[in-house]
Amino acid sequence: MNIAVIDIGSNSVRMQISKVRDGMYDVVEEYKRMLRLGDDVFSEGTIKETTMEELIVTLNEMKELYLSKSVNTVRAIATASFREASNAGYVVGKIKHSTGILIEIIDGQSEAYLGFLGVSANFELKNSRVLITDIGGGSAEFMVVDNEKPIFSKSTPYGCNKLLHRYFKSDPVRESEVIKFKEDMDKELSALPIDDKIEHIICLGGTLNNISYISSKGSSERVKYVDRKFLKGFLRGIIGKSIEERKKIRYLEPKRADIVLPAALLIDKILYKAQKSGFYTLSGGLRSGLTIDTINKSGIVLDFQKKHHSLRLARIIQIGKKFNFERIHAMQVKKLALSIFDKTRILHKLQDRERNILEAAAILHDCGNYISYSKHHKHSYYLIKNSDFIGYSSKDVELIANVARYHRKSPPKKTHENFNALSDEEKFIVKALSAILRIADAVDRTHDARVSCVDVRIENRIVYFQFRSKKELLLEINAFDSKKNLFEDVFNVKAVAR
Amino acid sequence: MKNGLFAVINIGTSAFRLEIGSFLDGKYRQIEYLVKSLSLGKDTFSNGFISSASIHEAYDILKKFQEKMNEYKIGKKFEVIATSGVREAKNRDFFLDFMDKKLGMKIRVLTPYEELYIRYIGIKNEFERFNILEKGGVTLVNVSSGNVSIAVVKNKTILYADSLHFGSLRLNEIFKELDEKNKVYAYNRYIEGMISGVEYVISSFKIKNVVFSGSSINILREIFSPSNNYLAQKDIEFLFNEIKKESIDFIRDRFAIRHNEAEVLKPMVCVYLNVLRLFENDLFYFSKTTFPRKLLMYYSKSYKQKNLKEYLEKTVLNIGEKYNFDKRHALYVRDSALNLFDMLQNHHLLDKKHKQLLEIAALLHDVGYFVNEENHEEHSYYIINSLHLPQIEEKDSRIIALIALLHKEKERDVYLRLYNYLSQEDIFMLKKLVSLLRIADALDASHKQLIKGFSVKFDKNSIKIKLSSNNFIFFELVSLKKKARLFEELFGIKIEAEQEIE
Repeated sequence: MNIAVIDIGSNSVRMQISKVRDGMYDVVEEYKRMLRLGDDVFSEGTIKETTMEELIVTLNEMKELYLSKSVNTVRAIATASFREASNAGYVVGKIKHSTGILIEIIDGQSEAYLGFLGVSANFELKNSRVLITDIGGGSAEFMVVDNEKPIFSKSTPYGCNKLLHRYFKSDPVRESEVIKFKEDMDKELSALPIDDKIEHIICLGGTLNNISYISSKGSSERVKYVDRKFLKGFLRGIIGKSIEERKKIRYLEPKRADIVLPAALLIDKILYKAQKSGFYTLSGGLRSGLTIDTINKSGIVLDFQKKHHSLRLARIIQIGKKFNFERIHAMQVKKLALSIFDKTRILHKLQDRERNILEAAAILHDCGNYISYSKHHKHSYYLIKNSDFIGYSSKDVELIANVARYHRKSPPKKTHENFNALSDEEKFIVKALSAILRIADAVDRTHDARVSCVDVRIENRIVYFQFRSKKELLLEINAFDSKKNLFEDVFNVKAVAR
Repeated sequence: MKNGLFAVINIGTSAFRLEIGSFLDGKYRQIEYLVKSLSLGKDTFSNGFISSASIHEAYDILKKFQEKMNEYKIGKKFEVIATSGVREAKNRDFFLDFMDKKLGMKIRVLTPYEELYIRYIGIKNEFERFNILEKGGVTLVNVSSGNVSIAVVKNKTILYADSLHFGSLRLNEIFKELDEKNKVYAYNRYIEGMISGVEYVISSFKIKNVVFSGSSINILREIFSPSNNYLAQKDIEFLFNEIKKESIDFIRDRFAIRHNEAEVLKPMVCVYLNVLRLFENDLFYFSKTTFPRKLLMYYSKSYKQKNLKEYLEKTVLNIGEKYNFDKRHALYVRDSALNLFDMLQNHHLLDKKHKQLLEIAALLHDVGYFVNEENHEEHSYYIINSLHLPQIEEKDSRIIALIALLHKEKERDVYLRLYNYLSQEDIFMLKKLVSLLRIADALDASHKQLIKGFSVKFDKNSIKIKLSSNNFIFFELVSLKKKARLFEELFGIKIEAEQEIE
């Protein structure tokens, strides 16, 4: 099933086309036009005839595109600008007539819920308290989620386009305007449950995503982190500048040169109230949410929405499936690797983050076979590095790819570009984890999961591995001996198998 | 091949061979066959390079072969082919350069895939039964001194091809320090480790028929003297039991084979048994002609060529499907690119071979979407670079990969490094092909094949492309503006597109 969703915001109109398959979905196309409906609505209260014409042209382009992708379900929503335009009904009718697309105007609460759905598909929300904010052009949605459950939700009129029209009339802005803005926001935000119990802040919306795009110097990752220090510096840089001057800032979208100021000031206030040193941004969050909601409405519950489901793990398996992984072997190596990791903590002293890296690397270590068996370790590196994971930072993914890269004969070397680019600490992580992975892979050399479990005993710098199995393990022990060198080198021990 | 003489020199891992033959009215007759043993493989597989003594010995042999060819006035009608003994030597460039400078002899080094492909075409041509087997699918296994290459072929499509490092001489060299009685165990362990990696994929094709080739077959034929084109797995098992505990000298005398053949027999038999285990069939087939003969037939173009193009196309399409490509788009872009190529012949002045590169690149330009939508052109490049296409040399494969990389109009400095190794002429050719592919891709920007056809008209300063379509082709027109820029820059001529409604 292919579905297209269209999100008509106050600053832009965007479309996302996805393919739904096996309880998962993949985005196949994204399309965007900057069309600032909010400029009409928040200054004059209506959508102008010319803007509507532009919107119709844009929607026709989108229609052209989604028809070409054999889409069977289409859903178009509009948010604040339509909610507030006095002629919204007329525009909806006119658009239905000229494009055949029926626009659904959604309220702030539903908007917040869609944002939450989008976030839940991209972040692990178990056991943490998270603030999700979607600062759009016309409204800003706030939601607090505790251990995956929304516990608070509110739609506020603090969209950055609207705030711009209300507070900032001069160019460059006056000091007094900034002060007035800050004072008002202080008061307004105090009505919301934003405090230091919040562990993470996740922001949706194009303008904050533009800020993280600037801070990451043009990174196209969907999830990015912005440090508050950067935000402070960025604010200092734009406050004195006119809009024309701001347009010269690298990676800043010219059409957001004005509204970026209220958005940046607002998020800074939120960080201050929650005592956080930075925030995450998620691009396409509302659209992912809309996609998921549309899928749910057609009666399909996606894998990650089911109970007791780890999103992080589900995505790893999804990637494995895509590259036709040998599931039994992959899961066996994962099981053994994690077990060895847990039982050798005293040696490696690594934490849960590294455990998760090992888990992904163990499951995906052979995925390069999809390209070819020869050099498959290098192909695994490439495929892992270019796949989208959930619950891992891009650095984590680089480490997963490296660990998988070294599951075969050649150990990490300084002459390897991928390895040499890592810091000393990361180099250790890669060596330690690939040392463990090699052993786990070696004792499943026949790919039939014959080892049922492994015990580890450490005495006088000798590590005794005891592998249990109903079948004989002669070849496995031999393979162990030929793959144990890295383990012995990294931890300065002798490894013995029984 | 036309009437006349043709010669092939095959630089193998254990011997050099020269075959000279004559063609008369479609009939082939061998008129000279020389074998000189020299084991480059022993050098390469144990030390990593060819020793200086071997290089000089190789020179002497090749010089004699050259003199022989001169006696027959072969002229330019010959090929010199080397396989893994040279290919994997660290000093292979020196070896090649030495023979080029001293003898004026250009040596063509085959990849394991090219080698396997030539053997495959050979088997097809000489072995009638093969075409019947092939309908149900057949697995080709080339057990040579250095590698074991495996290909799965069905319905004129190469579904799978891979090359593993456990050829018999290589195994012999890796474990030569071991005590004789432990060797069989070591060989098996080593081979099993490698096979477990591919077993999953190969068994998924559920193919029963197996055809073996390689120097190993010659040894088995000496031992068994089979009257037909097949042997049974139990023959090999019998052989294994006969030799597993014996010394090399015993094996040599027992089967009346050469010493260097006796040396590799144990590892070879282990390879056979381990590979045969993957198939349910007790029998396996082989072809009787030698590799030098196959090379001679192949390079003198004496094999039936008519199906070769079809094989390549089917194999490429199969790769596209593996990476889940938009087939209709790929075919449309291919057809448009080839049409443009013909229509603009007087501008680009490229030849048939280049057209073939463009064709493959057009079919595969979007395969990278499978890895990730983002930077898909880079992923296409990566995937194509890792392919081993039949009939396509390695260098040309890289050019195809580069065309696919550059199909998106995103010039990056890092790409420059990728074509460092190309000549100025090749870079220019590459850019021409890219410029054509971009236009072809733009003509189906919506991936909906909205333009039914197009024609070009030449003006003084522009090329007018008339696009016949009754649809709204907004995307195509916008995209064409951007994507035609490279062409305009290269040839200094404007491209103007206009829609023509029927």
